[in-house]
Amino acid sequence: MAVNPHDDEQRLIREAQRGSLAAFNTLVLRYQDRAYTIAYRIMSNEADAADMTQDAFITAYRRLDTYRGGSFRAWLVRIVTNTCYDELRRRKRRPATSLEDMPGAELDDGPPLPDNTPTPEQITQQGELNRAIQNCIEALGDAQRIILILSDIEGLSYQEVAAAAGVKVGTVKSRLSRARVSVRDCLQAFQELLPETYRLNTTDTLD
Amino acid sequence: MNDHERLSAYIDGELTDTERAALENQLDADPELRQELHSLRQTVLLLNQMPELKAPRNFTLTRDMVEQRPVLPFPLTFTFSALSAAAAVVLLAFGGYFLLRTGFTPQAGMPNTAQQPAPAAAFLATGTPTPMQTALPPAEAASRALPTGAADELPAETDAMPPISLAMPGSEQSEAQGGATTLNQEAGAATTPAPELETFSFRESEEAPPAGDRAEFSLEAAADGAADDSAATFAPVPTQVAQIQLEPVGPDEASGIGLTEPAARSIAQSEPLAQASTDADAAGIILLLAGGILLAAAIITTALRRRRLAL
Repeated sequence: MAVNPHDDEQRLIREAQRGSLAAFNTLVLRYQDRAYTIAYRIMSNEADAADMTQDAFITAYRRLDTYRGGSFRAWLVRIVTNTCYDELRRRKRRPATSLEDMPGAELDDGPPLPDNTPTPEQITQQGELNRAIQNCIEALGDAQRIILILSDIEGLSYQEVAAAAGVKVGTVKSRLSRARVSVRDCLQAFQELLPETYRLNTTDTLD
Repeated sequence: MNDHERLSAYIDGELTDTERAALENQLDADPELRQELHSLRQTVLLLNQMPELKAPRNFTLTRDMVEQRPVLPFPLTFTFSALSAAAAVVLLAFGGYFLLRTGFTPQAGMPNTAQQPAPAAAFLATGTPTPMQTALPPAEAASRALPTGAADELPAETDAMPPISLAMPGSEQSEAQGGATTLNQEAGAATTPAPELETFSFRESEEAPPAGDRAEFSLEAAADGAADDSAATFAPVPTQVAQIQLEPVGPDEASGIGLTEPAARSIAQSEPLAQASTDADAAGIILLLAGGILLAAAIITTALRRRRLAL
């Protein structure tokens, strides 16, 4: 049963590798939500996330020859991650190019940009919780944030994360543990948003 | 691995059996560590439940996106074509300048040129009035080296080597030739195969209006040279006159072919110059060739790029 979708995907990839844009666009439609989600988690805003997603798909199309079987999703995640990471590094080198960094930018912010799911029914505790988590993720350094997103949000294995981020598995382990501790500490401020079962408080249980 | 790393790996099932057993023992004995594990596990669960977002639009690609901004190979970029064209212009300009200023003419028309490529080239290349002009027979030297236009073009060069200005204007060439002939006769039969020797540096003459004096001077020099045995030195190998006269001792030998001491010295000193002029001539041709190639490259790459982008 899982064979057919996989075969279909491999067929689409082969066609795209032969230059079929239609075949590639089928893959784009299939993966664009995931790609955009990763980009959003890393870039922390919609406009950048959209730009990075588009760039990543263009890059993916041009580098289709570097896909040599295996998980297409992991291959694509790596490209999205690298696209975002390159952009973040580029901005660090040339911080003046970012409008957001300019003094007074906050004043212009006005109403915050519409969040990822701003529909009324989604403005719920769950939505607020996710925003809180996103805030805590954003507070991480780039390297830790990317590892955490790939591992705990995208569900990649250590090996896949290491391949996507271009680091060793040992680095993944240590960065991931530090990122998790940071996010946990950050979320302490949002205890009231956490479901009962997810309470992070550690003191009650001490006898 | 610190506690957090071990707990983190434990959550992900990434510990080895022994590591896991050790940690579980520790957890049994340490409620604080247990609590730490709990909070981290909750954090991971919270992260796991983060929803996948909906893409705000479709990110499907169009031909434009993948073909319009294609990564053109560098040789097909506008930058490359522009640089090639610019470099071509520079090279052609320099190459042309090198050759024009020396009055470059095809060597086919010259007697002995086949055997004397180096001196001829030297002569042609720099336009520096070196004594290398020995290579030309008088008549030709006059007609060839002294086009009035050329003389006008090259004032600076002639200034370069005042001591050698013992040449004569074309009008007096016959006189000069007479001197040369005399020299030939005096120098002996050995020199006869190389009549060019005596026409030495006539080219300079266009530079020197009061050529009458100089002609005499030259004749005297020729006479001196005739007296000098070393004149014979050149006879057997007329084709290599330039090198021979310049390399070994310079003054003495040079004077043998009709130069006074200062002139001879300057000839001797001009060896690097002569060499340089040979190089410069070759360089001029090479520059022209390279310029032509680059120009062609610029045109071809431009055409290819247009074709590529038009697809």
